[in-house]
Amino acid sequence: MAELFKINVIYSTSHLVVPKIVTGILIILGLIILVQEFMKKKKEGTTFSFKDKKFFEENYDKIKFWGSLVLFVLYIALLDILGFLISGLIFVFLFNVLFAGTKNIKSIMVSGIISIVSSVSIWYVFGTLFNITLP
Amino acid sequence: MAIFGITQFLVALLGVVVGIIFGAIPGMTATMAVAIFLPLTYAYDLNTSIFLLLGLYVGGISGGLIPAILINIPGTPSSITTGFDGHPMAKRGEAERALKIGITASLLGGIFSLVCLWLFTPPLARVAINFSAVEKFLIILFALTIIAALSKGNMIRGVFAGFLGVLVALVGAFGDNNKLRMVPDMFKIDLMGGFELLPVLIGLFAISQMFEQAEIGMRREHGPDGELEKSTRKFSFKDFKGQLVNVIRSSGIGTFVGVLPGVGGSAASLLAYAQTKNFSKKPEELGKGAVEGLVSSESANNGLTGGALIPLLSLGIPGDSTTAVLIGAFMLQGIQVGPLFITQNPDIWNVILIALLLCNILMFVVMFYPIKFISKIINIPPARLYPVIIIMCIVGAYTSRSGNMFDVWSLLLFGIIGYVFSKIGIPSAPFLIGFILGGDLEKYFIDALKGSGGNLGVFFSRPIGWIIWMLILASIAYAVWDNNKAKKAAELA
Amino acid sequence: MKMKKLLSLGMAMVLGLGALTGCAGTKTSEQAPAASEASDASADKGGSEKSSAFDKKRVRVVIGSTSTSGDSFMVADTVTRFLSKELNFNGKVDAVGAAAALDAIKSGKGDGSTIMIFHDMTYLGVAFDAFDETYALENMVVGPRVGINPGAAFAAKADAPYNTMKEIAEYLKANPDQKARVAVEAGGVSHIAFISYYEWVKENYGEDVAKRVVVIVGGSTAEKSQMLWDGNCDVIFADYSSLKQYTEEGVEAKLKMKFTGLLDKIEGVDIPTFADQGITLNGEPFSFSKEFLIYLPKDTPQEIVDELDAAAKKISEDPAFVEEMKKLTYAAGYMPSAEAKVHIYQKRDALTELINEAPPLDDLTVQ
Repeated sequence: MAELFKINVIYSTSHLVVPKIVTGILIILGLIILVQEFMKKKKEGTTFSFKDKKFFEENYDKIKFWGSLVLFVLYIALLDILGFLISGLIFVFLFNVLFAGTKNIKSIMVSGIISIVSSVSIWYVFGTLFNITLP
Repeated sequence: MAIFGITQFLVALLGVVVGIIFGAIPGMTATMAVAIFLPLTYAYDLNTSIFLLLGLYVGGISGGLIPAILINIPGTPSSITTGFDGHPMAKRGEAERALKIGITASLLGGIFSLVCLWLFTPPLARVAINFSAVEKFLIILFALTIIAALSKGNMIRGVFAGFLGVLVALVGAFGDNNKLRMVPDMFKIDLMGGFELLPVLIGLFAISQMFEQAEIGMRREHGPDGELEKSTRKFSFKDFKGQLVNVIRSSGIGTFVGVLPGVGGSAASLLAYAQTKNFSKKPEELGKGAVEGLVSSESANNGLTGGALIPLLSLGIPGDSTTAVLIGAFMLQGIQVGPLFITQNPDIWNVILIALLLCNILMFVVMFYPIKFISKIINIPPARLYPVIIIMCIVGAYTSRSGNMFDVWSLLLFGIIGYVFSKIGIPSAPFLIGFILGGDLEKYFIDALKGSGGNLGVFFSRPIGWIIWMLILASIAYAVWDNNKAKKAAELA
Repeated sequence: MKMKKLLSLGMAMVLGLGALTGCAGTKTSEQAPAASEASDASADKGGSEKSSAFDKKRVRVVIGSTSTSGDSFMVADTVTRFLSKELNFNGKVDAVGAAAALDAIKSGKGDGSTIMIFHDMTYLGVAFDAFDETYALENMVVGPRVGINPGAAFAAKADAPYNTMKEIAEYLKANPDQKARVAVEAGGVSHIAFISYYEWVKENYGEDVAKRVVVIVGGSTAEKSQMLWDGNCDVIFADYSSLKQYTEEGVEAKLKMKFTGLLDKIEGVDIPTFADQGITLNGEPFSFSKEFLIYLPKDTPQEIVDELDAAAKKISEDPAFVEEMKKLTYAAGYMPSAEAKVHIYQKRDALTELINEAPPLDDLTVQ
């Protein structure tokens, strides 16, 4: 009985003790959630399926959503190559254009101003003044 | 007196302002601010450095409330709970009121902890030594119970998310034997230390929010400006009526978490918030914009400041990550902080107390009065705001380990994870809390077992432990009861 | 309307930043007088020299620790400050941690823009198998030695029934029911120190005594001190300078410690070293100091190394540098890169052998 309340911590495998316990707990909780969902569905008289749930919102903004994802990946990928300031100028502008659109000249100008002000000020204050290592 | 001249005043002001900016930018923290300014203190004497560094510390801890309230992105890990009630208030059009309540609560917490530091340093330090791995493990477990309290009506999923967070926190090498777990070979070097907290934090909150906003086309969350003004409830110090017990309890918890070395600072506001919910007369209001919750979170995280200095100055052991950096400032000046520090350096001790008081007051003044303008951030259309948030987050993530591209990729990764979570109904806040506390949870669990030869009975063997166990059980029992009540209410509706 | 709001906000931002830079501006100017003497001196020297790889460049100095208060940071920061004046570069110490630092040197460009200043953990990580061979010394360029931290020490609680490491062994021999639990950081300098002690005990007092010298794996100095205070271990290993204050007169009994042995002689400190106590390894007196060297990426040209050599030599002769290092209880200890390379390779080979022969921690941690 006493053995039940013992966990032997051996140095070379001590890194696995807690991950194993946590994984165990997660599996149990996961099963409970599944059963609960199943019961709920049964009660409501619907069959168990994921199909009635849409992942995206109805009529979601495809351009903005996927655009922001693609821009983000490009931004990080080019960060190292272009350096912080240049990539900041380009991508903050692009994000602005993507989100606010290109309705008129004014809007694009605002995008430009925001991109310049934010990139330059962050670069100057943190990179130069505070001497933080930036990409 | 030589302690305090115009230079010190200006330097403290500079520290506070810069600290607030660091705190307010998602992904930058008080710790970073102090670390960055540390080399500059070579040029100053110790007095002046103390004013500067404490200013950065107090400002950095306080600044986090601004983005938490206005855009629901915690500026620092310790302001996670601030957003729970602060942001709903801001959405109701009470941004300015929420900010002012938060700032005032910060001041109260700061002063409370200062008094503790001033009067009770030796006894509190002695208590701290008596907390070994067992008690620390239990305290962390106790902090984790906030997950149960948070996920009312949805408890199992909340707890699942919490443990998932713990699991993700364990990715990387284990401190004892330096062996990797759950790390693909490809990322062996990058993930040796696991995922960094800041990219995870701002990924889950800021970047996932950006994706959600992009999905719905960056519409504004709030009505046109005029409407916002109309519904604004003005701040008044009467808002603090009836909050006395709450302020004292929360600051006390914050200070105590600070006193305990090795229990991370973010646990302070989590614990305080959970207890406020447990003791509240109207617990169902918390999370929907209750003054109580906001007050609790902010007084606790500023209560941390003085608390964390207690073990630093009396044992030579830092109470949190920022005070760990502060040790450097003393070392540079050739002064050892430790058991003899206060008796051998009464002048410096006085400087610290005065500087902390001044910095708290400056923090209040600097934030309270201009806040009206800062609160206008909420009126900026998201389409214009998010690009700037993105660039700030990238700087923050990159800087979290002094320049590491991997952390920027983790930022995006956790942004996507947070977005998917919200789609499949897994709450992000419990995940993050699990992540924050996971590393310490494991460390003290293993340490306690090592000390007892693997006997689990060790967790029930110490009197302080029993008290914490009782609190844990009470907390869970209450959350379960509350959860069932909420479920029944939902079924009736 | 919206435009106006935005504009005013932009203005506010610019103003705010202006104020900020204004303040910071005055700061740097205040700082200037302190540094001006040295920089003036180096400025005219720098002017006469021919093209330098460092002149006016930004140099990133990585260290293998994430702490900005440990000895790694302190040494790197002090050295960087003096080197940057000497070579006129803009240096920044980044506390990135062992993995990231080694990786930065492995993948960095050999143009002097990224250098590492780090102690013996540079090769001990590979020796302990925490890092693979691609991070071995062979894959980097060894620069000059710029600092020494001799101050590693074992300490016990002041009321412990022994005063030296030797007495611990004697005590264990006399009291067969007692154990000595030593807090050690796995895979670090303390691990080395422990192994050497353990091997000596085994050799001179037999398996039975050695078996009762047990390892408790601990972390930072702060954690180890707490373990000592709350009775979870009996002996800890840490920097002399960080523990010294706990040994002084006036510290309350619960916190008080005493040193039981130094790994190497520290100037002006009369605590018996391992050598003084007759603790030997394979018949040789054992001593160990942490040596801080500059490490560079593999493809760094010799000119850059030479330049660093010359500059490091110069600062090591600067009394201000020596004084600052001494204040932190470190020594300047300049050694030119060629010599340093031979030395550090030898040291690594000896220690790797020691590590490979030592019993695994699985056995040492059994209580």
